Amino acid sequence: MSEQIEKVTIADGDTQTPDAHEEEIDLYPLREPSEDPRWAVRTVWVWVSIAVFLLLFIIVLLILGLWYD
Amino acid sequence: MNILAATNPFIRFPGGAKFSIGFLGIFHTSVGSLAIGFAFIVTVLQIVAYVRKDNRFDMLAKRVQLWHVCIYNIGTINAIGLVFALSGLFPQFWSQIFVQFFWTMILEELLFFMLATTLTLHYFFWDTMWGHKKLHIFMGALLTPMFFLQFFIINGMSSYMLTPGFAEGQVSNWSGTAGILGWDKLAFYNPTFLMLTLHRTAANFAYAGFVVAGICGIWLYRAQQGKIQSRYESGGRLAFKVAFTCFLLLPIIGFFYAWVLKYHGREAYDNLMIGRGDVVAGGIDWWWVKQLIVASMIGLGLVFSRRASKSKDEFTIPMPAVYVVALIYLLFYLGMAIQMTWLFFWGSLAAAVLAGMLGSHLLNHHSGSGRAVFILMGILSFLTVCLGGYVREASRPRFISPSGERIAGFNRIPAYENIYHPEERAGDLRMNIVRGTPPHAEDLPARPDRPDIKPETVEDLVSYRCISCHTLERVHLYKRSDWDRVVGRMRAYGMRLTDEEMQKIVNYLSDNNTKEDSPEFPGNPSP
Repeated sequence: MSEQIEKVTIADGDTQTPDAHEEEIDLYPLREPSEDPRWAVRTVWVWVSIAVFLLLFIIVLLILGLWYD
Repeated sequence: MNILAATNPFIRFPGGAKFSIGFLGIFHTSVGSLAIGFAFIVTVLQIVAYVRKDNRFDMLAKRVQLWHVCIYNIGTINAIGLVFALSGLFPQFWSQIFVQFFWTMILEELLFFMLATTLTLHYFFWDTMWGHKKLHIFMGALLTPMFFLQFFIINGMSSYMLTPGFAEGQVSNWSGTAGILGWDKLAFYNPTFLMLTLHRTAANFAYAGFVVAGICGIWLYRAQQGKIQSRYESGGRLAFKVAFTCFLLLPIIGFFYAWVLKYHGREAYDNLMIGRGDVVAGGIDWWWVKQLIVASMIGLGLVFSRRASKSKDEFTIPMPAVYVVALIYLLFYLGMAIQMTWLFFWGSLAAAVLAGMLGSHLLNHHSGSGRAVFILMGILSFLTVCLGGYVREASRPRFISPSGERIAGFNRIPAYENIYHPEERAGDLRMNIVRGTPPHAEDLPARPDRPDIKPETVEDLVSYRCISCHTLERVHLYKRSDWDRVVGRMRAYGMRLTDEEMQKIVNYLSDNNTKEDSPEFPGNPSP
């Protein structure tokens, strides 16, 4: 008997429990920039700056290697 | 023990050295290529989501980026294992490569660091950056040029192994005479470098897009709610179309890749195009198998694109472009049939038509949803990446002769010609794609002459031989009694020396570069 109840529960769970993400699909939750944690924004800015600099540096090296080596 | 004279491998590895490197390499290619393509697909999905203010695409992008984090870690750890195995199983070859491309490898390492950091920050700051969405998307978009540069560098090295820019008999860049090791037209920017890079880049974007679509297809089978289904249907369609667009570029880039291979890597070209019996295992030519799969992908993609172009979907590939590329493939198969066997042509055509019919049936069966086609294409693209990677590497000239003779030590590049001759294997199958020598082949720019350096004194010998691989500082760090062992070890690593030259160097170093009271160089050096 208990086995039967368990089976029903699992089946119900598969078909009726709403997906946790369903509610989020309708939203594109853009918000005010001031609502973002400052430490996170600063971290990202610092890293993006470093990454862009390093990318340009590497590209310049590759071009110099092609011309001058 | 004389390693060079040993008849058995120095290190035994399960399955043998070739199998182990092949397995690790194909595993790495299939995972690494996916990571490179994922970065591009994530950015496309994020931009589409931002422009349309449609969270379905952004949520899918986040999920793909999570897979990307996992895949990147797996691929990186696998790469370390691959380098360990290569260094252990082919130490002389790989130590030469690492010395030759030292700064190249250092830049590669820097890019690994940049990629890991950017990827981690991008995924884990996803929900904290909704107020700075453009900045977040920009950070994610940086991953694609980073991956491209990393790919750029690794392909410079790998294409060099096939088509070094210097000719036989000339002093090679192995001698270490270049200003910055490896960064020149003879090494890094070698003849097949650009086309290999472009071809693999487009292939990776296609591969990752099809895999994302395939995973969307799996989720479509599992999803119960309409909204969830809509997310995976739309996301899968977008990923599929981006992938198929990149896929359509491949034969065009591939044509020029084959063109440079024909003049600069003839053995590999012959192996791929007309070779049978070499790039095979168990009697199967994997290059042909790959082409059959590619033909099937054309059939599936063409049917899906036709169906999608009729709907007012977000983005459609112009059908004339699809037909033109399909025609290019058809001409390629036709050419192959004329050169080899019509079985190739009819097999490819049958694969394309049957796959197209299957795709049409699947689309009808699922009321226009591409879920089954997505999964099928994901699997097929995975197989083409594995097979493509395998045949590309297997088509290289051999380091071991067909009779199994070991060619140990010494410079690999001049040894290519001595080791492997396509004629031995191809026999009467060898046919000229271009009949005779094309007139412009004689007008190709001459490779620059390098000075023929001949050591005259013992100092010259030390200078020319030792600095091929390392600086001379360390010759001051050994005791008199060490030199016989050290120079012998260098010889085992591949330094070309006659017995007489070796004795001269040992005597010279013992007499002039020895500090009797100096301790052993710390950390068990490998001079």
